[in-house]
Amino acid sequence: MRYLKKNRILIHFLISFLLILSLVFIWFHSGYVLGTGESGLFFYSINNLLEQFGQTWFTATIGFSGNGTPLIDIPFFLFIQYFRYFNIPYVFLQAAMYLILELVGFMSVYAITGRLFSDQNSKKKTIISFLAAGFYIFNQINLVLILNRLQYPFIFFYSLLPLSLYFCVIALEKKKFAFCFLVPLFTFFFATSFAEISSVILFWLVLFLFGVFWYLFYARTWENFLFLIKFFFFSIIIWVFINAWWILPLFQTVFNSPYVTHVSYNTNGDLGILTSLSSSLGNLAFVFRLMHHDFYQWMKVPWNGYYQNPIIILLSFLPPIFVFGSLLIKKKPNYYYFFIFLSLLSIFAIKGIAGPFGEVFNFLFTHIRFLESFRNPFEKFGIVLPLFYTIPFAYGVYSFYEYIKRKFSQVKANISFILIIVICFGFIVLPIWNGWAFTGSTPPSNNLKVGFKVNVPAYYKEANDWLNSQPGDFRVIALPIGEEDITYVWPYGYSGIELSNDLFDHSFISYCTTIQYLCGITHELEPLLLKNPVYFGEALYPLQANYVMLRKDTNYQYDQMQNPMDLEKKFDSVKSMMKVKSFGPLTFYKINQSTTTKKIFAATQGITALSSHSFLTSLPLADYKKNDIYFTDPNSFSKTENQTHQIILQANEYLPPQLTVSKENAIAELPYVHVLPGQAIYPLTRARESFMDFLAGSSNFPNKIEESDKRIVEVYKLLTLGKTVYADKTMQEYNSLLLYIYQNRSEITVDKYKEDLLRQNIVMSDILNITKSGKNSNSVYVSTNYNLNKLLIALSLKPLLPVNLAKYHSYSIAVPENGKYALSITTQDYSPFYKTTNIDGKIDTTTSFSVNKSNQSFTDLGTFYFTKGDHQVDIQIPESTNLLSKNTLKVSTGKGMSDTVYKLKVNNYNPYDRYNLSFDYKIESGNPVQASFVADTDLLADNKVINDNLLSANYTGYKNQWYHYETQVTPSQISHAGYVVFFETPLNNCMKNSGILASNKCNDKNYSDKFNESSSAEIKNISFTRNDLGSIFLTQSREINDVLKEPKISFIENNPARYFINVQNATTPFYLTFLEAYHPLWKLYYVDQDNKIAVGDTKHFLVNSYANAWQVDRLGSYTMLLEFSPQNLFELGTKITISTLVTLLLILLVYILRKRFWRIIRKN
Amino acid sequence: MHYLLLLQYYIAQYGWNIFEFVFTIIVFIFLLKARKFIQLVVKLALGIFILCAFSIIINNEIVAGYLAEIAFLLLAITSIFYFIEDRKHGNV
Repeated sequence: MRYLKKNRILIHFLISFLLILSLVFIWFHSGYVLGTGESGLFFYSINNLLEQFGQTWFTATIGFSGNGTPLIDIPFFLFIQYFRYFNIPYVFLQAAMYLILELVGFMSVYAITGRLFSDQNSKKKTIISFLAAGFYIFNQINLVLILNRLQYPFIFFYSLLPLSLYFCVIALEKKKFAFCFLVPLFTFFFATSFAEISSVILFWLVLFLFGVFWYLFYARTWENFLFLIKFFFFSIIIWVFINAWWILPLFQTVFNSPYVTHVSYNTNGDLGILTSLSSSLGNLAFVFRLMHHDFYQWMKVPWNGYYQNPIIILLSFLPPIFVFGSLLIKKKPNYYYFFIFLSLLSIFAIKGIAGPFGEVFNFLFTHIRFLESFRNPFEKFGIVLPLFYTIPFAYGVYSFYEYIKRKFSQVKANISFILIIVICFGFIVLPIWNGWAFTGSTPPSNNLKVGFKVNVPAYYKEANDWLNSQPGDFRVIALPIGEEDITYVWPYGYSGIELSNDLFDHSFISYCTTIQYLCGITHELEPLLLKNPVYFGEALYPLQANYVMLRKDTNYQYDQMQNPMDLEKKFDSVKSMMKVKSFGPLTFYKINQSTTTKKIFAATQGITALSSHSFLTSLPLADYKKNDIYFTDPNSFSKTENQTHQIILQANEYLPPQLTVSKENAIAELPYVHVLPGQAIYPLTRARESFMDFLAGSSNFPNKIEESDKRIVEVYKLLTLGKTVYADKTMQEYNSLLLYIYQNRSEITVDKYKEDLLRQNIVMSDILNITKSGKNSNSVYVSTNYNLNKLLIALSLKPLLPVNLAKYHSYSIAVPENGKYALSITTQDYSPFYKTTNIDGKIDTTTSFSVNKSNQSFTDLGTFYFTKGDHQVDIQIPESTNLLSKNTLKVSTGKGMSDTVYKLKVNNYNPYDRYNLSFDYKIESGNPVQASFVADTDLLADNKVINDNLLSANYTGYKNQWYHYETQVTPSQISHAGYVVFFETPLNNCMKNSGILASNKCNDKNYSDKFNESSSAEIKNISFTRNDLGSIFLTQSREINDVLKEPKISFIENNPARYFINVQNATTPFYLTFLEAYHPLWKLYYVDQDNKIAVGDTKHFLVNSYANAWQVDRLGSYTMLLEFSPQNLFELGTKITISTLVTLLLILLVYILRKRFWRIIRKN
Repeated sequence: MHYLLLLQYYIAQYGWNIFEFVFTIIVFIFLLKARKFIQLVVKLALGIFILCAFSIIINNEIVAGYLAEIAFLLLAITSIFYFIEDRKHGNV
């Protein structure tokens, strides 16, 4: 007993351990690992993960660099791998991870609180510390963002932050530099926390703010100031050294990746996300309670509306009441205000641009680049709020307890204290206690018994073992293939990021994600198999795929993927492929072994295939020969033209935008201009524009569009008033704005901007008419008109050359060199859709052609001479056949009836075609008729189709008047049948007739239906026609004059980011082809003894729509080195990390031993 | 007429923001002049939380959000005043 009394800390630790252990037992007692969402399934095959993500080049799918961040997980993976040596089951490892991390968080908050309340009596200090630590575990943020999100970076960060803050508190109070080592040292074990830049910023910001608070209000001396600066300086330096293994390659990859600099960076996109998330998650009534507004709506059904219960809503306000109620207490503990201010500051940040004063956040967000990583403020800032709530909450609850004790009695105080604990740590966070925390809103996780528990069937292991026993290095294609998410229908199923690359050791092309070049391939695979199965086998060689895996264990309907049965039927037609093995619902097809490709090989010739998609669309026309490569980089044609034996060019079809721009009202629909240049107050309006630009910061693109609108209206008005000098000057300003818009045209994501530019085009033609009639033909108008046209063509708002789009389908094509090309069109069955089989058209609006459609999959339109540059091919639209058997309808619902649905089936439906739907309608009574296009694969909810294709007819409210409606329909490619559906809903007068007092009864359908009035409408001229004439190709067969000879190539893989290649007897130049995803940081070197001589970047180009090739000119036998250059920094960084860790541990050891030594000396 | 429409537009767009700004200044000045009411203001903010709860119960989350914004402003202002007060008395 005395021992226990002495070791109070040990007892407290044991209590905490048992508490967290019991939680972990509840979560994992079923014996299954947890997995969902973006995290995938970490705890399934750790060796596979380390192999995939253990170097700077990740081999999953077609390979990617991942911008260095997955490298962060290496220590985490190594720990798991270490324990796997002892055959500890994954479920125990995952449970242990939760136990350790939650315990670290709990104990750190306990320790911080104890430190800050060191002046209080022991009992009070203990209770407050336990309350604070308990709150850190039992709160809504831990429930939603940490446990339910199952994102490992968040879980680690949530533990690391209080631990580091604790070290920081001690370091500053004791003023000991030893803690400069401790803060960064622990970040090595918690490195997973820093997967996002926002975590790094928040981590240092919180520590730094504490340091500032400590200096300003508790230790304001020059000495302390110097200590603070030194402390942070050394901590950050050591942190960089300890984390060098991922920081160094991250920097190189981020600043060299074209994806990061050109594709993903879009400030307006970030602002859009921030705005939408702030409006949904920034509601302070939820933020104060640490609640994620949307999450509880999603979970309403699975959790039986637990958080919508009025009592729980009321109780959930208790934590913020205690947190901020603590302001009323007179004597506050040390650093109390640090926590209360940071709570308020975090709340302010979490709500984003929602009120109050959201404009301040908006201004900072649009002017400080790195804040873009906080575009989801609830998720990013939300993770730190519980830490700041802990101490005010604990202090508030304890003071309330003392108040009750003082005012009433000890018994009442005890009862109320227990009640508060049960409510705040129990009822409010019930899902943490009963395991609901690991359930979701979509199947299978919405089954409360299954949740995130995953049990991968044994046939996956068998299939993996079998694949590993197959010779060679190869990829596998998994079908059906879709986007990032997948749902498996195993008994303990999984829903989240597609898993094939986690379940198998080989790389799988199995989903589309943000990996560059990947989706261009994955989106074309299934259409190729379904439309041209004969050529499917040829798609596999360039992808280094030897096998195709057909899987029938996914919820393909829910994931909106192809039915695997439909795909299976097509495999019989695939040339040179055969079914080799089945494992439960997994079937493997193998390509003919003699034609498989190696990862690195020498090529001497190929096919130039230029298309906006991938080389896969060119396959039916390709004259493919073994070891051919597809030259798919339009910028490297000069390097490859001599070795090209065929050119295949796919034309881009011009699809007119579905925008509403009226020619007559163009100027009226542009912003109204009140003051014109030359007027005295005009500079004020321009000053206002500049001020608005300043406020918008990097998100000022919408302002620029508006300014361009105003400038062109000003020019028009000035010209009509005859003020030509001002008009010329304003036109120049408009021209500069157009150039700016052209350079930033990737930000034109909203239809309104496109509509405005089309209106500007209409006003521009009026301006040109005025300047011509007034003999005022000035070059600035001509050049501005040219720039506007260039912009509209680049944005696909205008075809290359003028053409009547009502009569023609227009295609544009870039020809790489002068020559004769065969023009052909894909012409699948025309007869059910058009009344003629004749194909008429024009090239560049001048050269005409007319041919009869052939029965082949391609129709030859003739051979024509094309000069190098852009060309236009226009195909006349033949007279179409209506694909609906009925073209008139009378729709109505009688009084008191519910919705009436009229379904018209589309005849000869093909999901790969586009269609035009048009009809005239007249509303006779009640509600307007609604129309929709529905496919057989559309998802159902409550037996009703969840439909995105609801068509909005432009009904103005006038009855008995005919309206016309037309639209384009692009069906889902996985569907088999399509329907045009009209439905009429009765006019419900419940709210109107019941009066205000009974209006709540209208929510009851049975009551409300009594007030249904009849609705009726007449529909005529219903037409559903095909609006797809096929794809246009130009092909040219060429003779290769200088036939190159392939040298013998062998290679050794040092690791996925480094290869040594042995070239033997190269008698001619050749193309060294490397079938991993193209990246500018892949470098090829000649190795001469110890020297590396780089093969220049100009000889590096894209092949097969995703891979790398270099033009190698050196003859003879030699060795080459192929490496992903961040790998060198990774290896250097790893050495720095290890040496820093060893040094730090030695210093700590010496420090401890020295202390002990002196203690012994002193004793003796 | 043009300016009147513009004024209407700005009031519709920024009316609540203007109100919050004015409200903040008034509360700030009020507490500056009558610091003894500071406890009352905190209690008012906590009382607003209860109103928020009822507002959510009757399915009006938007009103709850507005009320919480007011509570936030009151708490932010009072915490500053409490801090200044505690600094004065040497508690911080």
